Amino acid sequence: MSQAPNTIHTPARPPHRRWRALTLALALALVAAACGSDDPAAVSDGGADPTDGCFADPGIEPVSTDGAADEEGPLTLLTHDSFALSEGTLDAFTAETGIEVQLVQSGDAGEMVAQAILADGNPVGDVLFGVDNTFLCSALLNDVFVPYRSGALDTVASDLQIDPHHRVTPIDYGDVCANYWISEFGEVAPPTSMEALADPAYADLFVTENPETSSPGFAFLLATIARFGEDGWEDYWRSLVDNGLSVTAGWEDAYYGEFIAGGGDRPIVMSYASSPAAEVLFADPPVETAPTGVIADTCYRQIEFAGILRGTDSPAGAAQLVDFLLSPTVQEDIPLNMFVYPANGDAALPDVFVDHAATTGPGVTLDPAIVEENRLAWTERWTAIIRG
Amino acid sequence: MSGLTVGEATVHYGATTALDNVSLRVDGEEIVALLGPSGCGKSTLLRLIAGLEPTAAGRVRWGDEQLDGLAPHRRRIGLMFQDHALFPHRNVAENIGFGLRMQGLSTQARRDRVAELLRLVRLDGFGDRAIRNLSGGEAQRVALARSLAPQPRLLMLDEPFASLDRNLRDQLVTDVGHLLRSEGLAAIHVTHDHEEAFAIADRLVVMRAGKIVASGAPAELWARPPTAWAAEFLGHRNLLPVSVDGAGTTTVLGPIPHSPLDGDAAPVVAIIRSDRVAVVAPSTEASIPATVVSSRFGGSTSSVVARLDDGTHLHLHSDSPCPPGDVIGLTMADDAAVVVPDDR
Amino acid sequence: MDRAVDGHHPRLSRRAVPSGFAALPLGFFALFFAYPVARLLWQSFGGGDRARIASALLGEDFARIAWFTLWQAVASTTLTLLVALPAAWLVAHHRFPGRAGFRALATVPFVLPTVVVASAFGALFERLGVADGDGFRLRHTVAAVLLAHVFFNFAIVVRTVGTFWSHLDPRVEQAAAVLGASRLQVLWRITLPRLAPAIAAAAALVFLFSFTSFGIILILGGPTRATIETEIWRFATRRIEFDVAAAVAVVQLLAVLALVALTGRLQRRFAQQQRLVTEGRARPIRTARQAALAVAVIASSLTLLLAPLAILVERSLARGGGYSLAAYADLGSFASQIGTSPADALVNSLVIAVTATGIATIIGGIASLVVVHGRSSVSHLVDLAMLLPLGTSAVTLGLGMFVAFDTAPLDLRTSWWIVPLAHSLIGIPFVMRSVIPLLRSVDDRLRESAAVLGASPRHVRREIDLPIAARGIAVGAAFAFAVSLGEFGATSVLPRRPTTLTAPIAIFRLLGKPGDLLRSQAFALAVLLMVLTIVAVVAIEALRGQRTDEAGW
Repeated sequence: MSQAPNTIHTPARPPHRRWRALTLALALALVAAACGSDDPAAVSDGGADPTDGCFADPGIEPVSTDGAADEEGPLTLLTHDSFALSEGTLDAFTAETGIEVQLVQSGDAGEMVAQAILADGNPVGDVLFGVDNTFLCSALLNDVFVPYRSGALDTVASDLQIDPHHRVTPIDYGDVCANYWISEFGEVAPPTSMEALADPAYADLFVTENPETSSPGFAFLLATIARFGEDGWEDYWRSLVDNGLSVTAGWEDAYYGEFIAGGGDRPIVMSYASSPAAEVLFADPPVETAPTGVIADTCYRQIEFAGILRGTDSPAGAAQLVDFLLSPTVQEDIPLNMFVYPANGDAALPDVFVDHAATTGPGVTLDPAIVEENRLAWTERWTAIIRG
Repeated sequence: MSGLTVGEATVHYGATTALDNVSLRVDGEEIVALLGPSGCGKSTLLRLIAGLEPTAAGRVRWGDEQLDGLAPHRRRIGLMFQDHALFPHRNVAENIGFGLRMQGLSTQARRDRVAELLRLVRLDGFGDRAIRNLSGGEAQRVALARSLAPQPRLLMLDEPFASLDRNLRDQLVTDVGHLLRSEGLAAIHVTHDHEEAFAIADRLVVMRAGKIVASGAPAELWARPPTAWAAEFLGHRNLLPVSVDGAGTTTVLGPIPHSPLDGDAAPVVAIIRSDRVAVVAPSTEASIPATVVSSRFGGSTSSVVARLDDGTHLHLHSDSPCPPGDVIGLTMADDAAVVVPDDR
Repeated sequence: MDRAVDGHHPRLSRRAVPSGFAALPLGFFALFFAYPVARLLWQSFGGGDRARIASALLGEDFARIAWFTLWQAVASTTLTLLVALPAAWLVAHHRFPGRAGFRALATVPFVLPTVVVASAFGALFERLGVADGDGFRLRHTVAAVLLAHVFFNFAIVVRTVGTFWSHLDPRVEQAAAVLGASRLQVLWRITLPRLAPAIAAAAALVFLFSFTSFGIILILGGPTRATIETEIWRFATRRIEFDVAAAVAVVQLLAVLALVALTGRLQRRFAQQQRLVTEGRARPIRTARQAALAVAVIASSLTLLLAPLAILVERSLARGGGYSLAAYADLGSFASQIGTSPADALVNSLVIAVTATGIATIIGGIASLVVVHGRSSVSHLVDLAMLLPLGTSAVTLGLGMFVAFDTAPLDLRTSWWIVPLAHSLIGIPFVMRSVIPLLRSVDDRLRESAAVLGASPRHVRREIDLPIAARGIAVGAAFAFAVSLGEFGATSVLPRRPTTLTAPIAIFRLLGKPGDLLRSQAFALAVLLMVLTIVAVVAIEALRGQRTDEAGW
């Protein structure tokens, strides 16, 4: 039982942030392999130094999977509020292992990670699911997880396996993309590129979310940085603002407040590639085609991970639970409940997902270590632009 | 030997002394009227006796029982406030039955006693009334019944009739007097109205600025008030300057019987009792002539203000009406004049 | 209302509440508020970056945010008073058909999740043509924030002031009128000063609510508006800078402490023994003038209250271009988005709210007694302390409880109890602010009369204070209940099992995915939450018995 110092690690903040950011711009890693990205070498080459920042060797022993160390009793799966599985899916784990799983949910991803860090080695649960690349480094730097390499990782594409020390295991991924309300675009064709959103032809149509407060909003900011680079993204955002951009605090008030779907008047919203599929699945009366489409050029990839929490009483059971999360039972249940793609490449996709969720190719993403280092500076600069 | 004894009680409010070394006795079934102007400490004395006021010094006893330090609810002393302080959230019967309930009486016993008290204060059938629907007099009687219900050994009434009109007050004063006597209670009745005090009390106690300045049976105090201030407060209105010399004591009405106090250097004043001066025909022998200034017809007697030749005004009673301007004669009984120290 | 007394009597009743009484509320406060918050701040400052904290707090940005936080709260409070006082007058003075429903309705905004209300307001602005029109735009303006604050806090003023008002003896005003004072003079010189304790109490609550408002600022205020409250959340859960978040939380605590101390002082200064009537003073509407005033007040209040609520109802029924009750029929079935059925979430909310209300009423009731009758030092302390949780950010409260109760036997982090406990902390000030003005106005002579009639101090409290304060307790309990039903901030940062998933969180999560089905379910759940609130508020008020009611508001 190692006890970490009772302090919270916050990322180092260089005094000359601006200068650092500029140099880092050169190191921006754009992972956008044209082919099927099956080549693990291509990914690690494109990434930052794996021994640096939050991916440095934590020096934590991997969990013992010897069940003798486990305490009796149920396992607790700690997750965020968006976690959803079909009724009874977790019971399959109990049937398989004899261990009961209790679910504890803790706000959104940011709030959950904040709690996990504050718990400081005395976690509420055994396994945490739902930390995404946005908050991954904060969690890793504060030693929230202990390493565990799941045997099921072999089924997972290597570009999803970001942490070389396996403190977290990728469970699903999805793309954040602008959606548009198809019927609003008749004579005028829907926009097809990121640049088009700043085109006066599409003035006052687009609503996105505040990257400071919203995960899809942050993803879109990263997408623009990935596209326009450290030197160009601010100009792009200025042109968006000039073009009548609307910004909301969260996805809910963008989609249900300002987007057409919720009775609003804007036909383009920053949402997910899978949103059209949800529109079909949850339509009433049923519909043949989704009312919304995806602007693939605007997409940014988010990966969600699970990890075994440092301080768990049941490391072996926790390891089994991580394996279970990667098993087809869970993986095939994920798409229609959480509207993201399963990390397990062998998992079969449901028809409605295949038919209606946009396939956006390999996906755009930035190296989490670089994101972590620049996160605060980028959002501050973004806020300055929006404030005008 | 029962009865209340307050010994050398002192109460301070900050820098002011509300009660200054006050001692008081009330016997078992005695009704004492506590008389004094506003702010003289009457209410403070009641609150002290009830246990509502902490004392700086002094003691309170009932018979041999020490009351100091005993909480109000254990003293078995009733206190009826000037504004009645009826519980607005309870009806008449519940108000009256409150003290009985505190004593743990059964519902039936309570009901009987409440009915009895309602009859006693002549409010039969009022039990279910809401407090806000009572008239002033009714509220007053409910408050009285409520105070009597738990059978306190001493009942204190703090200006209970102050807010009532004259007729109602006269009637209630009589009623309450009867009631207190029929229940055999000791009582302290606080008032600033001397007539009310005369009507109800066995004994008067006059207070001034936190001190007791006079005490005695009503007739006795009226006849021989101890000081000019007390005399005025008891309703004497004819206070005349006197000159004292070797020949005796003289007022404008002539010489009066008076033996100067020992080494008396303090100013004195003569009180002329209106009830001992007769209004007679001006021709009557040895009468002092006067002119009627004003007169108020009061039925069997009239109140008259008469002016003497030197301009002095006297307040008198006359058996027959005498219109202003009439010339009348005055005759004084031997005991009509009392010479007292002038402490006003 | 004043009567001649021989000097100032030190009040008997001051000595009637043993100091031990204060132990319960103070202990509760210390264990469930002071200790968690202190633990959180201590842990967060550990290893903190002083230069970073200083630059965050001393910068121009933070000064701007702090200033905005303050002035929008002041403006919200003033506006709420202006809008709600006429309604308070109406319900305190007149009986009219649907009055009970009206006052229950006024409480409804309390329980609605901000995201739902914001969405309703957005739709309302659109219908009124003030959304993204050519000229005026309401969304993402300060005006929208203030309007929403008035909507949410309307009930606080109407109910705390209205209750007190209905119990003021009208003869004082009548006397002033007879002496030649005009209606306005009576209002300004007599009535408002008499109402001051209740107005101060209500204003303090509204201010704290607006000061710590979260969802409204984020959603309706737009991306460039931030308050101290939203900054704490942002630093703690977006930027994971606990040290800065803790520093901002300290600033918030100090500001709230100063405010609470100030209002406590004002309240005590205004506190006076009023001649109260236990029967309310409401009379039927008789003259045409009264009717016109009543119609004006009701119409404007209902526009404010009903328009957004009507939109919620409409949305719960809208499905596929038409209207149907299907969303309601679906509430009983499992929804994977929330891991249980929406109906279960509603039941959870109900059970939690009942528990939280029970705790808040008991602790808040005792605390009120201590404040009014305790030794003055203890009284001030309790008065100040119990109001603090309301002015504390939900994140501080939630995360504080999270870090504090992490070891057996008090590992409450995933316990069911942590949610009602957190809710009761926020409910207690409502109970106290409703009870204290009434308790303060209980005439000492009633207590003294009871004492000389043989009532022990305990009996005096039970027989005199409690029944007279009952009205306030009922109002406070109804608020505590509504606060718990609607609480979102602290609940959302506390770890939750399916049994502590509350309806507001379920609504928020149902709205977390696209699709008409989920959306109409979310709004149906919001409508049921509204109905539940109305039923509960009516029931709580009925509980306290018939006799003394009739007219009280």
